[in-house]
Amino acid sequence: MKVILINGGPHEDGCTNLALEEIIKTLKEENIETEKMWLGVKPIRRMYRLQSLHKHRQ
Amino acid sequence: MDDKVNEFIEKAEAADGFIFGSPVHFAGATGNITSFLDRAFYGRGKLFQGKLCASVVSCRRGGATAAFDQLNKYALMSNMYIVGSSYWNQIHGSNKEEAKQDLEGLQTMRNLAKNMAYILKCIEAGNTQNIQKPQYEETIRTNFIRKD
Repeated sequence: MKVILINGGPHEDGCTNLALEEIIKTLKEENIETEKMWLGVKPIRRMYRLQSLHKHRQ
Repeated sequence: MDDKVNEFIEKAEAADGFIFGSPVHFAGATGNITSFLDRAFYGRGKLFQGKLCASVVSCRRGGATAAFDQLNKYALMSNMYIVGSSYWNQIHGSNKEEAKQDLEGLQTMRNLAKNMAYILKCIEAGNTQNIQKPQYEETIRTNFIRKD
């Protein structure tokens, strides 16, 4: 059993991470596997519904 | 696009639960996690269905529940099971040192993890007992605006 935790904040070790680490600590005690992913500071491209946009422009 | 979304999608297949954490910016989640989840969830309902999900937000003062609601909405239309805690999953502080003093917030996180672990184990037990997973109908898509 595995849980993936996402940190969407600009700081790798900020307040959000503190909350996630508290969750990870307890999940480990319960023998649940965890993996944490920090999204980083590089921009992430937004969702882009290409087909739908073309339709609206017609 | 070679970014964290692709890495996450590959890993998500093998995962049984997800926690989405974000600081609160103007009573919403960060732009980055919003773009990330928009792209991860779009057209991928089957990847997440039947799995557990919870959101966690951090902020100095306000806007936590609005951001929390936003993050929960992805799971709530993906046939996922949202896990709760003893409070809405929020922690308060301007920085990590302040957030460490939010003992109720930290306890909320621990209780959330306990609930998630319990339900994961229940689902696993259900699988060994051949409890049938929900069988969904073919999706009906109705829009509100019609030309005819």
